[in-house]
Amino acid sequence: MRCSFLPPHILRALAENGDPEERDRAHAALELSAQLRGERLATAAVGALAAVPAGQRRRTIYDARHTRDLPGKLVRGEGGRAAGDAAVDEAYDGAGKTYDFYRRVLGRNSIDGRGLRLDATVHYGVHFDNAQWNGRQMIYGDGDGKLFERFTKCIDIIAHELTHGVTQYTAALAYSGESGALSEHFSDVFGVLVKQYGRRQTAAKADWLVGAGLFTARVAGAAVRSMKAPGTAYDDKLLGKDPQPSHMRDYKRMQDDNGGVHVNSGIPNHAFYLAATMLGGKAWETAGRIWYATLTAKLRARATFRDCARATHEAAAELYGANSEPQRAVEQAWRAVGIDVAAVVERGPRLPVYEPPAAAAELPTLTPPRTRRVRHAD
Amino acid sequence: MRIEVRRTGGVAGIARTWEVDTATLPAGRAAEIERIAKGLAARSSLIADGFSYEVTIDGQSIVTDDAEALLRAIRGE
Repeated sequence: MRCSFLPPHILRALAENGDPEERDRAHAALELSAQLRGERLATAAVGALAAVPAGQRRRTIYDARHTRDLPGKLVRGEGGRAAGDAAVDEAYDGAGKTYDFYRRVLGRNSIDGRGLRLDATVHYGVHFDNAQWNGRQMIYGDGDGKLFERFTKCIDIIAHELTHGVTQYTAALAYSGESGALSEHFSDVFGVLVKQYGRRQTAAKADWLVGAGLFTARVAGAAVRSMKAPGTAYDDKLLGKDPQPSHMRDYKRMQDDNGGVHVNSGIPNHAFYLAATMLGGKAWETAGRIWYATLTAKLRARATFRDCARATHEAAAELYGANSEPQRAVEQAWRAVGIDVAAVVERGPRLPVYEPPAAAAELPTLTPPRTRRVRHAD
Repeated sequence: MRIEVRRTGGVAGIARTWEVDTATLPAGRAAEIERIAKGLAARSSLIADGFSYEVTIDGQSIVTDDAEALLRAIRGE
């Protein structure tokens, strides 16, 4: 079998469901295709790190020591003692919290659903103002210290990056245009849910900010994005104003940022916020489950916002019943951002059915929670 | 040589621009910046949250996925 000739969806199926040899080969081919898309990767020495059995957290943190050689020097493995370096320990703890959220709340065993080791490199580059997922691992810069703090400081940014990995192994959303904005959307959704879950915070109490604390005190801004009020996260003389729209009428057609993937994600982000706050309680319990079912079972690589709206609507019916409170909340939320789900549903066949995993230890109740009315006008 | 670097994307999704006119710099630093700028090749990648850089040299633009070395030189790091 030559995995490198197989299309990505088959590779992902093999990586999840194949025998051990097929899984290894499929992982290698997926990694290779990530490299062919432009990423330079040094071959990681992994032998000594494979001791922890699958089904548990397996975290490995590397230090690039201000170079851009990946993965860098191994500085903390699973169960290892705290390094005393904030970036190392935040990357380790954040990956653990994200793993626990996916495992306990959604019944997912790591990024690939099969216990994949979570690798991260910190101190990447010099004053590097970014965190990214390169198809295989997380990469964190220290920030320039003038405008940006270190990127491991925010648990929602760490969970955002890991969720790009989950997306790669599930919907495999193409990273441009609307599907790219959906990739950003799901990373923001599960980013903030990991944060809210860690704080045991209700939807009503949460700040719904992404990357709060990432800016230094010199920047006029609370965070890099707001799901509650897209377009209001920052307004700074050097960085400009948050460009996110919150409604389809303001969708921005642009060349930059792969067609505005970090810009137009404001529209579905706001729909999620509206659904979650309408439903009340803790956002991961109902809205989070609907969005997870959508990401893992119902979207194709080139999915549009309308496809996503339809898929969440269908997932809500599967999990909670047709015309249930959650399904109505989802429908109202999308309508408030300019997408009429009823009009979308009439087109096309049913989407694949989401089958919840048996392993989720904290699966929330299937009883539909109380729904509040949307206060937002169309 | 007038060089402009426009960086977009990244997890923060914030576009930023840096400009330099090497004619205004000491010869050694100007030569270093020009050397790095001329060595850049057009390249794209779709790494999640990756940066994209539009580099314009005397009116000619290329788009690349890595101009961090040039930015460091321009910022004098």
